[in-house]
Amino acid sequence: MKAKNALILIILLVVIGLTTALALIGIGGDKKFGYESIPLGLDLNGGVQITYEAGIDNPSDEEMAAAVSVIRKRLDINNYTEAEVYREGGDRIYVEIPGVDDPNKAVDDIGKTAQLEFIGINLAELSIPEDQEFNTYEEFNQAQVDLALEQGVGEVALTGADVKKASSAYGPVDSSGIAKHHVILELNTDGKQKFADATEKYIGMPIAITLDGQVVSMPTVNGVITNGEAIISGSFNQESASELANLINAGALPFDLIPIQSQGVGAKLGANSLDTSIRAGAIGLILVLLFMLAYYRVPGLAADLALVIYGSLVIIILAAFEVTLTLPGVAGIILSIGMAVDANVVIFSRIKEELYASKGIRASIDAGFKKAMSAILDGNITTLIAAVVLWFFGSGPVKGFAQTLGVGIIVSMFTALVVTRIMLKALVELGLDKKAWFGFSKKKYELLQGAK
Amino acid sequence: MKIVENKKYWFIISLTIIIIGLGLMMVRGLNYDIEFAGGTMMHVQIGQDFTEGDIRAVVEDVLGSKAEGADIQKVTGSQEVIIKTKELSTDERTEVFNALATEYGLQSGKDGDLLSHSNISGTISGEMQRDALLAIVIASVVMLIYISFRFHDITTGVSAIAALLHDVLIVLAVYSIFSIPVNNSFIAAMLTIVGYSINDTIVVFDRIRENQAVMRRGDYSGLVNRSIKQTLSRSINTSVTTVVMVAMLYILGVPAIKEFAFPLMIGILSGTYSSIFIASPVWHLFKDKEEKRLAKA
Repeated sequence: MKAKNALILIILLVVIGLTTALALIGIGGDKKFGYESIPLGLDLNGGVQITYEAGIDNPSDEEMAAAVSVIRKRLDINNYTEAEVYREGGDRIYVEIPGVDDPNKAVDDIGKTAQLEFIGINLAELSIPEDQEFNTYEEFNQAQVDLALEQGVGEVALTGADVKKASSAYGPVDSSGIAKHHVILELNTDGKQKFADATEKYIGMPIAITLDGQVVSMPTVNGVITNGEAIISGSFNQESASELANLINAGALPFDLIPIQSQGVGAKLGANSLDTSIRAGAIGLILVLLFMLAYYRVPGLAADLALVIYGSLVIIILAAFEVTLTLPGVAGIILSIGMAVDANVVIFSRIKEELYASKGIRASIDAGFKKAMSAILDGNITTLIAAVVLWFFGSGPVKGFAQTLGVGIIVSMFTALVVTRIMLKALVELGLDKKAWFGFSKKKYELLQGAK
Repeated sequence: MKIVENKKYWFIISLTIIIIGLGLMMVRGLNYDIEFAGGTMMHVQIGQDFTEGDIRAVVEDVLGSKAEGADIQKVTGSQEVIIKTKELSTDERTEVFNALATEYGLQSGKDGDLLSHSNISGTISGEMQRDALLAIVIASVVMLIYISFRFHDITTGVSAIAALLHDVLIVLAVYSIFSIPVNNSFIAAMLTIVGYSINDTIVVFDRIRENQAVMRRGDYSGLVNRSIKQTLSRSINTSVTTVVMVAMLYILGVPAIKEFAFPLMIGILSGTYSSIFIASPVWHLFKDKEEKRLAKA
């Protein structure tokens, strides 16, 4: 028996060592399953989160999808590549940009509605001052557009609202048959008519494409286009063609985006919050471990080892499922440690009572676990109900809290009912079976017996 | 152990705290944070000594009449300030920060001195309040159903929910008395307390359920007192360990965590108190009435 229980204990200790190492170090270069691979929320890592609402009533699914892709493009253009964008409810769009340098600038960058305009220029009537010098084509084009608008010989023929979609493509665009990178513009019904009129009016002349007044392209009209599909060709490479398509799409927002809620946390505060929470958790845990050991002796030792497994398992699960850890999430973990301890406390109180009822130590442990079971199950399940409701109805930070609390409760039931039990029995079989080590006092027992 | 016999004292103690809290709430209202009231918050590291008046002067200079009612608070034990105003546009917010930056030589950008900010419009804050209330109501109803089912007795469910309501009201009173900002973490704190309170109460009720099988006929006060006595050391130990964890958060935490940890500590203590002094006496009250009704019949 002794050898078998020694083996059980050794296996358990190895398991504890392995899970702890896994939770602390993780596997491989990306530290899989380790605490460092748990994704951190904005409040711990720094970043920005914005909720936009559509500026019109009852936007259609297509309009919302278009708006989401517009925002995504704006984020790409501004190099916020790790950003997440998704639809929330009927008319909202949620944007989250982790680890951003300057929260204010990010809000500004995506919030800005880029104004896309197609400006037809009557070259015949445009006069360019002779003393002006231009170093680049871009400068020259910009000057042409500015002067045309100033002199009243240019007009806004179309706006972003007329564009359905822009895309980049590669292939022959004219009779020459030479493949080139180009941009294809699809216009909506309104835009189709306007574009037909404009191409007729400005044939042989340029129609500048501007975004927020900046010329992004200045194609010359080669023919009247009536099918609502225009091709912009020029000296594009793949990158510049897709960039132009993105810019045009970014200006083609179906409605205004109203930021109804935004939040940003600088990297400095985020790191500070994480450090202090981890330190608080570690110190709290050590105090709890010491308390359990001092108050409950041998069962306390079993509970402490079970708590170490508990902590490691929670970290491994959060890392494996990539649950994003937020500040309230950390609070949820710390609270669930308290709940995990409770299960052990309930069990040990029961074991002690069984000892006073004149039972042997092995029988007391069995009876203690059995009697504690219903209270632990009912208590944890009701708390779990609260966590689930929180997860369903909460938003953002509250959800994070519910997730860690839920994981914590489930893991704590397992460690308290299974791990503590195996550990305790193995310890007893190995000779740690003095009743006094289980909080039993002979004096009190005799008093109780006398009273009967 | 005369817990049941003295129940009117326990009820009076709790009611007094709750009435003071709710009374204050009526008179001066809760301290709604911008998440619940709508508005703009900026948390800035000033990096040198300052007074709240200095900051207010800068903010008023930039915002003019929009600075009216602005709440400017120095973070205790630091050189940081939290500025709460009516809802500002991104430009206005940037202007305020830039003005502070000029005044105190602050940095923007990565690792900059703008530690955090948030902006919430009135429409969304109303929704948040509704969602929060809805979550608590739904959670309570589902838990009531579960407990009544598990204990084959609606009295147990109702008594547990009474204790839970007690804890929620006590914590609400704490928010009101200490003027703690009511924000998203308020919801998290409330629901944690709901979960904790129920868990704590169930351990006592579980013991009552067990002892009921061997109780003397009609001796409900003996049953309750004995069950409470048997679970007392467990109640205290669990409360101690959980409070230790949360107290660490309170001592070491950043302001947002501190705001959350304080009511949580009170809630845990209240949860322990109510499982002993409220839940079981309420249950006894019901059983006593039931007994008298049966005796008459």
